[in-house]
Amino acid sequence: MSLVAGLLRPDSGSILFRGTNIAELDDTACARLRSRHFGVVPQRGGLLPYLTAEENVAFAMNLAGVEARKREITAQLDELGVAHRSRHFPREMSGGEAVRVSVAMALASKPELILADEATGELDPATARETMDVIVKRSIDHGVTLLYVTHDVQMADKAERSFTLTDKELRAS
Amino acid sequence: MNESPAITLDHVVKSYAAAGGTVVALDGVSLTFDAGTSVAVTGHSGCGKSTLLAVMGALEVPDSGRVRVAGQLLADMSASARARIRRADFGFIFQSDNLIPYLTAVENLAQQMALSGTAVDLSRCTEMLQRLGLSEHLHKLPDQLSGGQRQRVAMARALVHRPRYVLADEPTGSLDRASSLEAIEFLLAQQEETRATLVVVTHDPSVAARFATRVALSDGRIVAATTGHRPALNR
Repeated sequence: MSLVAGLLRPDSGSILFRGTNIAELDDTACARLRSRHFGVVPQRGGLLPYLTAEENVAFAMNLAGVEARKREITAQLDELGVAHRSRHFPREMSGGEAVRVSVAMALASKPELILADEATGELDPATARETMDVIVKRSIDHGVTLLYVTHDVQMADKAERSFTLTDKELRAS
Repeated sequence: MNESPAITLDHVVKSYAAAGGTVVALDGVSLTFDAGTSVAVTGHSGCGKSTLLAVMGALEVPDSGRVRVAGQLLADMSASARARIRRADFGFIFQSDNLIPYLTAVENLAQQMALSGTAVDLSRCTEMLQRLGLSEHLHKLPDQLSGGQRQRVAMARALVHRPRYVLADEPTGSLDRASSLEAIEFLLAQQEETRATLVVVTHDPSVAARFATRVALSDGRIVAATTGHRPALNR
């Protein structure tokens, strides 16, 4: 995931995104690629604790150079089932709600690719499954490619294609 | 020294619904934090310290009582006015660093400046990180830094926009003793330089001992308050 996101450089080989080799981009170009074309849903740390849900989404939009319109922010949170948390701070949300707000932030930049690294890894199994369903559905609705990493086989089954990484080798499941 | 009140709490009550019933986190707390001073708030886990900070920083609304920031009643302010002072006038530090994981150290600081409405000054961001001994790590992502380094970036981020009030909730909770004392010295030095109002919540007596003014909370009430001179550093 770090290689795809341009956070790490491979020793050799290439990583193509729309014909551009990410492995050859400098840090600035990688940062631009991430903020403009990728949405990232991290396992933790995605929300600023002193901003409300809607302020966090507006923050992500500003970061991506997208105009932060109140109507769009509310619609985004509503689609993810967390509109009632718009004016709440992360400390007032459940883990599942916080992940949904992170997804709203990732979608806010209108990305072409969403990278989710064990995004539901810290949730209880039922909430994790429900949250992953929402992430998958929203990605399909927005026509965004979703690439997620999970250690949970049931989660992997929600994807159209899945791969297993064993002993540094990637195989189609 | 400017000693006009910066933040005042007047009979503040805040409770939460919990599994076993209602928990009263703050039970009629009245306190005045003078402008340009540094204060440690101490007490055991669950005594109401974090709630106190959240109420002061407009992150929580009290059930009753009044909170004033620079003389203005928070309850009288619109949501957008509260958001504005929270972003521009406050700097927050939490136990977990809460850095944006896909932004580098410098970028995390730059975003804070943008958020506060301050013109982004990359040389200021760089300088803050350098002062914290992070010269070699300016362009690293949070994942590429150690826990102590990440927390120092979080401190720099809380101060980079020159806030009038710095609220730190167990800022050294994830650090070892040496790093923890070093971090507190940095915060105190910054406070002396900028004359911001610094309030640090801690359960660690060695951290609290660095502050001349200490307030002890227990079961949501103030049980002791000490004011004196800041002790000389003796490690």
